[in-house]
Amino acid sequence: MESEIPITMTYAGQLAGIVGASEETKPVPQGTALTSFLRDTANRHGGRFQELLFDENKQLRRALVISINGEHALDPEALSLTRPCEIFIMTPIAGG
Amino acid sequence: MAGEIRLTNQDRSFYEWQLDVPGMGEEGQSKLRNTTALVTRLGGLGGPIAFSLAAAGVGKLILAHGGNLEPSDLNRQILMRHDDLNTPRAQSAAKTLHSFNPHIELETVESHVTADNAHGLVSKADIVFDAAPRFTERFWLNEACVRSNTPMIDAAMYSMEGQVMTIVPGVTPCLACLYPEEPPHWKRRFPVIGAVSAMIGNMAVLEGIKLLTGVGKPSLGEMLYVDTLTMGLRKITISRRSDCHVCQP
Repeated sequence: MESEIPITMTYAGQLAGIVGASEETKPVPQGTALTSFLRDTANRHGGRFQELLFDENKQLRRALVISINGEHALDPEALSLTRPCEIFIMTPIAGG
Repeated sequence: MAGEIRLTNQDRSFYEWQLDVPGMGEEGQSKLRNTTALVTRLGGLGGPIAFSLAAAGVGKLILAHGGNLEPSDLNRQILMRHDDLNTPRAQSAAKTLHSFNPHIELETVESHVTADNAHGLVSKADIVFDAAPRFTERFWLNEACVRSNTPMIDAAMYSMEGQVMTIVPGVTPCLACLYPEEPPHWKRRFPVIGAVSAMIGNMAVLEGIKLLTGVGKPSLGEMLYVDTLTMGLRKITISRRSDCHVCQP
């Protein structure tokens, strides 16, 4: 049987505001592709959340800051979730 | 060093308590005295940045900010004054800084950073503090800094959160490594409480002071992220993009 691992999502400002929480934990099958997990998460929250994460071609936006256990995920498309981890995700900010 | 301005007894009296910071001393203070810093935009972030650089005794500040002061600026732009409404922001900021520390040199540029002036402005500075509210300006500055090998402290905020990234060309990732494309959803108007932008601005100044003086350890290759709702501080290790169009050959 496929084992599940807990993934903790931590959301910065705008995303936390949309979700109504800065953190949520979901179990996922071990080996799930990161983009697949993010797509499911975006579908679950819908609307503005989805728009901030994915472009009109359903591609993950390149300017998002995504880190896994504190390490910048430069190429999220290439990553899979193989063990429990924390994914931090923030939309770009430039306020001065 | 040729052309180096030496600390005077007056300098020593002004910065006496700062000289006591371990690692600072006369050598560190002298480095600050001989530094020219470019601060782009003097708003909620850039104003406190310029103010704290002046307080620390950075020898010359180039202050770039276009437009006239508007009432809605005053909740956060602490260098501006109500009496200066409808007058150039850069002038208002320079007046405040001059009255606070008349012993440093100020150069005002009544313009935001543009594609045309970015390289010229950066070429006059030893260090750049980026506090612009538009990604295009930030990207122009980033590119000019990388091309001229000038360190840049990038500070940004939104509502109750903020971030600081210290960029040393050739050593750390650049802003385009973090944001390889212009984010489509960013809007020029953003929610802001002055205390949040001032806090992030002062973190940027500390990064700059550490880089200039060798005091402590600047956060190279990391983005500092602050959530003031929880007073949480997070460090994210940022990597250079092998296909970065700015910092890779």
